[in-house]
Amino acid sequence: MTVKKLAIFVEGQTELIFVERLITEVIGCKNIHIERCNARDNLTKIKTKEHNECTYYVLIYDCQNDERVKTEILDKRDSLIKNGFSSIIGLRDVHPIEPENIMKLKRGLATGVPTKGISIAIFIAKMEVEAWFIQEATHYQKINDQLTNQFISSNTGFNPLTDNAEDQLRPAPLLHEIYSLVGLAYKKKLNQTNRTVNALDYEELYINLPTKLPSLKAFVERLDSFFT
Amino acid sequence: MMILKSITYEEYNNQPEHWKLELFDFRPINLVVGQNSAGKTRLLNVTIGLAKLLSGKSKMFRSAQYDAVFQMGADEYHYQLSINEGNVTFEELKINSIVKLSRTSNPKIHDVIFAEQLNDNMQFNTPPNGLAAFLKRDSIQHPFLEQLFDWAVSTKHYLFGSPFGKDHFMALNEDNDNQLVPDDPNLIVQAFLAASKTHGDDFKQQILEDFEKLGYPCTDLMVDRERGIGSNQPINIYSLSVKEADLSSSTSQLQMSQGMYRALALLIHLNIGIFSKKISTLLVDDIGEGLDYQRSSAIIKLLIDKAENERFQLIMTTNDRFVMNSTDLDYWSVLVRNKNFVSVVNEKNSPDIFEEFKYTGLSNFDFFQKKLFSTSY
Repeated sequence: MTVKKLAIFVEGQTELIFVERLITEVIGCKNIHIERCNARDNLTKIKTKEHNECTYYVLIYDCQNDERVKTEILDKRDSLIKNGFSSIIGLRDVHPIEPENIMKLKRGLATGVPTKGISIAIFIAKMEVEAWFIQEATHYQKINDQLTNQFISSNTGFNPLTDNAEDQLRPAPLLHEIYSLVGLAYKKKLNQTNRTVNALDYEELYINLPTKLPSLKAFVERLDSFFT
Repeated sequence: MMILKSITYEEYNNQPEHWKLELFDFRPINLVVGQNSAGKTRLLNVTIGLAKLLSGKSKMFRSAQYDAVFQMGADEYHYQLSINEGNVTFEELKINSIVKLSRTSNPKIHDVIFAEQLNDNMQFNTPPNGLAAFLKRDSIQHPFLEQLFDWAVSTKHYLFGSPFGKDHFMALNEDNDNQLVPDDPNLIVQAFLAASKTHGDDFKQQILEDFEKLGYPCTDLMVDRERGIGSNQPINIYSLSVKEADLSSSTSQLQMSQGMYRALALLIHLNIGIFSKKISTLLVDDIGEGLDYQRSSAIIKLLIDKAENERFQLIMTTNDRFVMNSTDLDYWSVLVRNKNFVSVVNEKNSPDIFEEFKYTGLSNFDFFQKKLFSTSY
């Protein structure tokens, strides 16, 4: 059986944990093998031949740096082609680029990316991947009962149901502010990221929220096209 | 605090050894990058060379032509110096475009310096093999020269990529009561002891705090007998030693990794400068050499934080990937050498190149490695 191989390059631990969970929840774990890798591993962890019984093999590569997604993709492209990968997806935040320069960033990310041999697409999360988390309104009460939409709205000015998270300049600090209302924190530590990722509703994120969040929509559509 | 705003330098004009550094604009924080032999180390040598000349700590050069601009509060000091065959042929200091010191090699023109108390220019005649800016120091009549002198003596230069004194120890019979920090940065044990005597425990605790920020948690820093040298020495040899938080025994400077030792040595010198308030410009060659990515990032962050909080100017050089990736492009200057001419590309003279690069999504190292600084997209 031919294994269809995808490499996803993300900029940090948060995105790695989230993307892995998103794929597992939405695609299922039956015919898919997901491998984690980071910049230090230098692709030595790729063992795709051992997973020929799977339909899909997904390598999630943590670039461990904000500005290294495109660089790592270009560095690893040849090696991935040799290993039979057919698609590369990149995911990075817009921040610290200003929102008014998003089009420049999109053009810049597409510039200098070879199109032959393997499909490469780099997506952005506006302004940070945490925008997708703060928009997922059902997860707050799984974190703490007190975190109702009204409570969040009246204390932070952001209503997860009616406001658009892509309009937030810094979603990650906002998520921290929201959790802080009940004495919790979000500082991207492993346990904090896991707590949020475990609480998210992936049906919401995959089916409903993309209509509200264009950057999420572009990302999940690409995933969808790979897995169908 | 006086900071160096720009420097232009040339030596051996019209001779085979001719070398020229085009105008280099400094900012408060600077990372100078360039290929090997582009001129990074030489830029620092040129800068520390001027500091040593102005502080009377250096023999006269055979050939040099300096054009340096300093900023002191709202005042701009413009200092020019030409040396030929070891003699000063031209020297001039202007403050806000007003000439304060003027000297030529033309015997028909009097060398003059402004005297504050007299409120007039006075003639002078100093030996040609010395700088008038140093030889004419007089805090009453020429206080402006003190500003240059203070900058010069508090400009510090460290070679991070060198052994940095790792192989220098202290013999027991040396004068242990000395409170003077030696000029030679390799004498790290003596420097640490002298500064500890002057600044007490706070000094050591600050070094330990900084060291932990670089990923080296240690509970103590001391001078201890160096056991790694062997017991057949006629005298006891002492070295620096740290007590690492997760180890039961101490680690001497000989046992430390080169990267760990370099980081410690730099922190000791840096804190000596800060505690004694004698640091105006910190020059660090090959910063981050031998450190991993996390520690390279941490040392860059720590140096920048210190420079901003303690208000000294920071000039670092590197061609290290980790350092480049962890240093904001705003601080960068790229040196480019074409034969014996060295020019600089930075945000000030090439703002469009730097601005466009921000949106490529590439790492800072790519900017350097792929030579993206030399062309616009």
